Amino acid sequence: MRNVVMHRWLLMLLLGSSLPLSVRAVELVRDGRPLAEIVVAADADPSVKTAGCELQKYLKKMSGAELPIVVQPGVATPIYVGACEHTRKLGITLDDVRNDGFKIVVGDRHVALLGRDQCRSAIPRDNTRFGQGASVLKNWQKLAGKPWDYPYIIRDPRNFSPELGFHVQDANGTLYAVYEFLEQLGMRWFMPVEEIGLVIPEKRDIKLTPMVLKREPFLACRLLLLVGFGKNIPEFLWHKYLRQGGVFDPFPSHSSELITECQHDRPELFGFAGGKPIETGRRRYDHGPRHLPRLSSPQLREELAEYLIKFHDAFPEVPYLPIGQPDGWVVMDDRDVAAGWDKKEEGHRGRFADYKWDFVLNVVNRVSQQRPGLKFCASSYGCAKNPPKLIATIPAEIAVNLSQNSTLPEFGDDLARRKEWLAKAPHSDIFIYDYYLSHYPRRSLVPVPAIFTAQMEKNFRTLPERCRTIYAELSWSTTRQHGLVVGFPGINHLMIYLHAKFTWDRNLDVQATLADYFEKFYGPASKEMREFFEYAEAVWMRPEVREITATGGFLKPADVPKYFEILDRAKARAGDGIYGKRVQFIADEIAPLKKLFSELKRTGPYVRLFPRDVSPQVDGDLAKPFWTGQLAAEKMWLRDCATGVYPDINTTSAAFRWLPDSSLLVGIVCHERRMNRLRASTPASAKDDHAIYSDDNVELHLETPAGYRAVVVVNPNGAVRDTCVTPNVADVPEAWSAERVAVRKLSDRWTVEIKIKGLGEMPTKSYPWGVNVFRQRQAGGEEEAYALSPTGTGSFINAPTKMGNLYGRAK
Amino acid sequence: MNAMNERRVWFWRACCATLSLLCACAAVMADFTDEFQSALKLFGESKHAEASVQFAALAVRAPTAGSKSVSLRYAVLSAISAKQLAKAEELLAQIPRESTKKLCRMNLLLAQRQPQELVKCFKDENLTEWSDVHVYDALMARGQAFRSLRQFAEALKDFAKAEEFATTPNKQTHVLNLAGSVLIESGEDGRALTVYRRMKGISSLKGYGIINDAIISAARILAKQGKYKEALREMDGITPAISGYWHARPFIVRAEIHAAQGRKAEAIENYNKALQSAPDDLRGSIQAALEKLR
Repeated sequence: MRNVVMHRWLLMLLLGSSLPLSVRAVELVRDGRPLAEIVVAADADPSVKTAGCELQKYLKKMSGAELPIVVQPGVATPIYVGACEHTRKLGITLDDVRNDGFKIVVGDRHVALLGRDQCRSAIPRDNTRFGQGASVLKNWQKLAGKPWDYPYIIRDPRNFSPELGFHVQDANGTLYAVYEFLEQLGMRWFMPVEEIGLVIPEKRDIKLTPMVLKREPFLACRLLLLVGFGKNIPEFLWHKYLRQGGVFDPFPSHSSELITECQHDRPELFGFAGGKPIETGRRRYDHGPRHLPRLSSPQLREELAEYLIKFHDAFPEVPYLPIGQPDGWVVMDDRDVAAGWDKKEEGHRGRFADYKWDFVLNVVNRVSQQRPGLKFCASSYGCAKNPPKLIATIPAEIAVNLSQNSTLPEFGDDLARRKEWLAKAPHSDIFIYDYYLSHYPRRSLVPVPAIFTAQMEKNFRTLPERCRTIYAELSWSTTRQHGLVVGFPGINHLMIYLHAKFTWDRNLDVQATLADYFEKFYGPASKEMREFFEYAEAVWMRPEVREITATGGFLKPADVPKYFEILDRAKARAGDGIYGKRVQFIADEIAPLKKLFSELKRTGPYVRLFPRDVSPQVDGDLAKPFWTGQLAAEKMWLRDCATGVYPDINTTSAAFRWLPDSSLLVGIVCHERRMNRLRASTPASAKDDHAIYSDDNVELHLETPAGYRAVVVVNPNGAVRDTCVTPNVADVPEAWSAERVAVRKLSDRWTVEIKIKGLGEMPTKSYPWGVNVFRQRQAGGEEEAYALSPTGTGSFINAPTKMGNLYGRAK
Repeated sequence: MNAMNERRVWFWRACCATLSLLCACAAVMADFTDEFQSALKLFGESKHAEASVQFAALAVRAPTAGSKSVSLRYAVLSAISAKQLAKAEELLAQIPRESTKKLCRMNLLLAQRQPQELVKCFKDENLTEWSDVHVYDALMARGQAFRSLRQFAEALKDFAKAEEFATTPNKQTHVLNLAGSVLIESGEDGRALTVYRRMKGISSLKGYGIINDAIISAARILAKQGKYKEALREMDGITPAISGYWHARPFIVRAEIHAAQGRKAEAIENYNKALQSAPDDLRGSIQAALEKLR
């Protein structure tokens, strides 16, 4: 390992009776009796005191010997934990240690475990400098002198442990040194479930040969973004065992929103579309509509510059000032669009890049005029994920925060983009924001192991030297099973463990690390468990969509018995002891997969599709004879998307017809009391514009037995966005774009006709198509969502199993 | 707090805890929509205490501000029906959507018999600007408050507006029925008659109790005006049921009209017909009326 420096003649760590007689050894434990004491200074940092306790705890578990913890060395061999006057007298310093690295020094009469410990005292560790709860905002606004939202993501108080006295994101070099020392003795902590996650070797004797080991993390900040660690000490310490933390707070927030969140009465700060402010959700404090900050607004730019200066004055130790675009930003202000800032030709990931970076540079200039020499950070994210075209080089004082998803097969796109960014920002610091949310609750992913060791290796290997930090948003638990924050620890721990190792050493020997893992964690079942995880990686890396449906997705029905067949073999090998329990833990976690495919049948209603022998003109008129005079059963009424209640006002109906040219015609009627308040900022001429999602709209979702999935969104102007969410878009017939869409607006309703051609045979009851129709109503001033088949989530997406079944014939 | 209240609070907390636990498990297994529908079923079956607990638990895991507000609205309405007004107050405070919260406040004030407070708080509100799903209920609530305060003109204005937002025959009948009652209370029999006749015209509810009641009210107005023949013709609008209450009741009203007219024989004949199928709670009054006539 390149960043480990060891003295040639002191390299070997010898244990027990294997010590060669010619090398002098330090004995810590002999035959289960303590021969050493742990020295921790009385005024040591809480994390250093924790390090002393952890050392005592695990040495006792290994050997049975309880080494006393003292504040001054006595007669026994001292193990100094943390830098103190004694280590200084011994000439052991941390002057040559970078970031929150550490040293392990074994002399002939002492052991020293010490590292760089930075708890950043300027920000209280429990993050209560501005009080707690509602007072945080009040106190921040008092300090700022402006009605701005507070910089809430500096550090999350939920990750502070009152019992331990430090924050999970602190830099705790001494604690890392202790864990490294224990790891050298054979201990491993692979999984945050204490009873089975730890590997503790038995050692009646512990002897060490003199050595010096220095380790420094490759990345200055290594953060696993989860909240709630503060409540679970073992899980908190597992996180520290993984040596996660960092020497600064990177704070890559959506800072433009901090200016506008509490200033909704200032239209000059907001973007407008169709004469109305663009909404992006609900505000945090009063739940009113949240309006989109307009990044070209001079007032917004000026206030953000002021904000950043105030922020810097309040938190000078935060090295990068964030200049952030709003979250979930897909619509641009009409005036900015007219000025040519919306560059659709750059694609979804690049259309706002020039606009956003014009904003970033402007704010940087404003701040730098008043406070020269400061550093900033800005993200590659959303519609500004690609580098800007109008700027030749990103100035060195701006760190670029690259968002990516290294867990998915499409990661190649992110890697190519990273390359472009490194060229565009040749002197900037680089941050990585990685989405590891494979089992994130809203993504509805079933408990399939998400294994991507090869891709992880590629990710880290290609990080530049100037990369300073990596955040990984992890899966979290919704059930609090085992009292953990980390979701699905059985199937996720390996990737977290490996990730943590990489954050210290981007050239990690993956094969050796995995071999160590399989051997120590599964003992006699190591071969089978390696097979299990390798198979899981092959499945996960299939280039198909993550959502698993009856007909699509990366996981196939045959994979499930295969998983369990391997695990059964592993269990047979492992027996009933600790190894068997670990295998069983994983088997229990993925047990829901056994019922997955049988339960994947769509749960929505059966929807009748009526064949007709004429094809009408598609003009949006649902009062023409083609549609009228039919039975009531030919029409389906939409219900509230979450509660399933049928509304009795502003109702919506949908009807389905099969035409002689093998096309599907869908007629949708949206009754509307407030036609004059319809929100429809996207013009009919706009094709595939994301802005349509902010309008009143209807969405038609279809899924064929072949697995093709199409979505057509229409607004009252007749603007259309039709997309395909089929795994391989190249395989999709052209017919997936709607052939014709027409809309009519009447005094009390708006009506839509959507014709889709070339889908193949009419669906049957045996092989129905998945179908859902949604209506988003904005005209009432409060968001309303209706569905033909309610999803139970209030959301229109990612609910393939909630679809209805569209059929025209019985067989 | 007395022992009874303590027991109620204990019961409520135990129910909440149990249901929260069940709902947490259900979050994995069951769907929000299904859970909401099952709570709605309890509400429909008038199991109000249980429904309120279930809706409150659903609100905790509601996926959107809208569904949370709706869950809490039903929780409040159920608590009001279960006469747990303090609980209703507590639930109301948790509603995120402003118009839903205000509507629940109106319902609660009516239940607390505080119409003057309701009028004080909401008299200047333009209720038609509220979320469409709440406009009808809000106008009805304020109209009833005005009625309780005998501010009939204001009540009638709200009911008239509510009728514009009454999108189902049930809602339309309900508001017209209230308007008719207010007109009678304010001595405007002629207008009340018009309203009741409009109700009679709602064909999809023909035969329903509320329409029959409207016809009876119209007939009584006519009888009061001395237009007995017309009153009896009005009564022909009721299709009598084969037996039970709605078989007996039209005969009773007819008998009353004949009696008022001084036609004893016809009155007795109708009372006797009513007796053939009248449920027990009507029989006593029919016998008394017959005694009086004899």
